[in-house]
Amino acid sequence: MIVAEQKPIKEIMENAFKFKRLLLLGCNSCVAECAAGGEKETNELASLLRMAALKQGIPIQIDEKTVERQCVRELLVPLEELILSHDAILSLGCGAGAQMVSEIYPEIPVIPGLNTEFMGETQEQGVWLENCVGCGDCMLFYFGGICPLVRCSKHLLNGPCGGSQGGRCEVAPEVPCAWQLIIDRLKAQNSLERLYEIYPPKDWSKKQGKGPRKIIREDQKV
Amino acid sequence: MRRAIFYCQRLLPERERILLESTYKDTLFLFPMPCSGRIQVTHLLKALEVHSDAVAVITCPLGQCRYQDGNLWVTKRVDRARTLLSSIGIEPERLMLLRNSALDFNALVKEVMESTKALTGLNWHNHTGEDR
Repeated sequence: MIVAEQKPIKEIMENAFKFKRLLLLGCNSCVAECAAGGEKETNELASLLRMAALKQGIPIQIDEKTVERQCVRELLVPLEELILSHDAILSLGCGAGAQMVSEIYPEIPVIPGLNTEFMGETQEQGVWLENCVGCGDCMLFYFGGICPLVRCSKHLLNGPCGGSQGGRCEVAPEVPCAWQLIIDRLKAQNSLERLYEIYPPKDWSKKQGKGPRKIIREDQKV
Repeated sequence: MRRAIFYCQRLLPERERILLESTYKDTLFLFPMPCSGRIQVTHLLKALEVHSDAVAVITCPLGQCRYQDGNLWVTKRVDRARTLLSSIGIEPERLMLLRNSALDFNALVKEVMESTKALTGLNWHNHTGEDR
């Protein structure tokens, strides 16, 4: 999932209070799971902004709405009447969601309320861990399901570096050594022979350098 | 000055709630919840936004939550709501958390009334009730 964090309230207010009718648009998918932009957080922020405006005597109408997925066009189209009745949208979706709103309703300014941070997992309640860089050429099978590109501080495809101490990374001791994890996992899978493979440098052209990436599937298109 | 108190419904029989509200007419509003752990940040903020000048939460004593740790979760939520209020320049003292350690609800209500006396009403509320 995509992990995001709410922007500082001062930054949000700076942009939001320039408008007279503001709609907070939350998203009930990834950013709800990471407690940044789901229905609860949208209601909280709306209430907080209304109080801040009242306290400062700023005349502004603030409404809120949460959609199931802000990055899906079909789920935003039914909101046309609601969105067009506001001067601006404060999006509590990830960058993709905010851009989708902006694309469908180009005449309405979209203010991002979140900073989109990374793709990751909910490690435990309240803890989210980055675990995918979206390289476009997944090699997880070779590394026992642990990605060294994101989990290793040195991004080594042919590790370990030899600097880890007690299973901890020498660059950031609070981080478990990804290569120690990979070795332990491959041992558990009885597949340590995979460590003898030498992997060539990653082909990053699949991730960047050609503008935004796009996947087209004819079988899914209408 | 209006105060709202959210509390675990196990702490106060309904007839006593009615009695307390009539004693502190227009200045105290009591909201029983199935468990204090059901209270979310948004309840606390919304109460201040649309109704009250101060909000208190009264929980069961530690270790006595019927739902195991509801009264621990609400502590985190009150802390978060206080931080959010501070971030927009509203006194965090408007939000209080009390534990019903002595099982004397009335004494805790008195404490809420006393400790919020120094606060002024929020400027966007137009209450007509007598300030006590």
